[in-house]
Amino acid sequence: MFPTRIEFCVLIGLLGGPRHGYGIMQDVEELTEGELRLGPGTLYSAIKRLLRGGLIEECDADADRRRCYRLTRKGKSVAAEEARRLSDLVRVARKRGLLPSAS
Amino acid sequence: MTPERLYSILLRLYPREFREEFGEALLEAFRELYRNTGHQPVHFWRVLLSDLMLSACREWLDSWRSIRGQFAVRWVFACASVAIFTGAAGSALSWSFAYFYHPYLEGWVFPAWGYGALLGLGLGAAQLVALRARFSLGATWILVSAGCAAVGLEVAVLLAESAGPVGYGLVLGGSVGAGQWVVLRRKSIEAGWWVAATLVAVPVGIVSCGLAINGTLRGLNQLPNDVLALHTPATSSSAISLLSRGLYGPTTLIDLSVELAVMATAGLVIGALTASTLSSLMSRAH
Repeated sequence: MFPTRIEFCVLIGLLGGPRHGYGIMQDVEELTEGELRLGPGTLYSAIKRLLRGGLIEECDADADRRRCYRLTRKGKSVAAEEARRLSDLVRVARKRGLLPSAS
Repeated sequence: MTPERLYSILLRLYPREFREEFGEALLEAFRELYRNTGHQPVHFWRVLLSDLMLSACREWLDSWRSIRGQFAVRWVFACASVAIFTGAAGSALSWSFAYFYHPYLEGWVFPAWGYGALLGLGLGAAQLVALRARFSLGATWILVSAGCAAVGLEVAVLLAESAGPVGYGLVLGGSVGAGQWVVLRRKSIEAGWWVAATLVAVPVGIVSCGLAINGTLRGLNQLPNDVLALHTPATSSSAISLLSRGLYGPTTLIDLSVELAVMATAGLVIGALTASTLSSLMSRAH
């Protein structure tokens, strides 16, 4: 399964540990330096697909009884695979002069 | 009205399954988002509404791709097929009546109830096939559909001139819906919704598609049941003229194609308007 950009951001956000919906929204905004701001509808659409794909699972609610989610082993492996794929693409882009060299 | 109340109403734009699973979580996220960023109301609602519209569209597409969606497509297809079958059968009868005409048959007319029974038979059979995976309805469903469509069309034709196309559709839809409800209520406690859905779907289907059903009746005889003619402007454009020719006894292949296309559209509209209700009934069946 190849996650979409939004799904990948949610997976990266959950690498830091279990989060509730609004916590994930804040994490994604922070990780992308404000470039990607998820609304509740987009977030829960992505959560629904990730739950169905077995990449995340629901865990115990927090103190405010909000639903929380965490990464599954499969989710972690898919996120790592996607990160590797993106990194390979960046390396090719550098090689072709699209991006400045890393050194 | 509080912003939270407004948002909870807007959540109805999502498919029911999504709402049931994530409705409460969406409201929680909304509360926190509003608490932290709601001080710029115009910006806040602009972003929120575009998020809601885009994600609702995505969820509906997802829903249509699901098993429930596949049922809806099968259902709409069944309704459209029946409408096409009825149109084709009506035209075939009309053609054979003209072909085998004999002065002995002078004054003979094909009764409206006969055409209604034909429509009900086809409708009942196609619905039985579409519903067989969930409901075991049997031949009673087909017989009841045929009987009620026959009675409904006969009464609708009598009332057509005074009641107009909406009244015509209401009588036909009410009769078929009520008859099918009698059978369906043994399978689902919320079968009453089926009557309501049929009551809305049939008039909309009939009005929006230029009284397609009545059109083929006109091909069979000159009964005073020509509701479309009452509502068609005297000065018709070429498009309306083509449509009228197609509906009022097609003589060429193009006319026949127009007639079948109109019947198919009526079937599609009726199928699409009833699919959601039926799908809900099926998920709550005994």
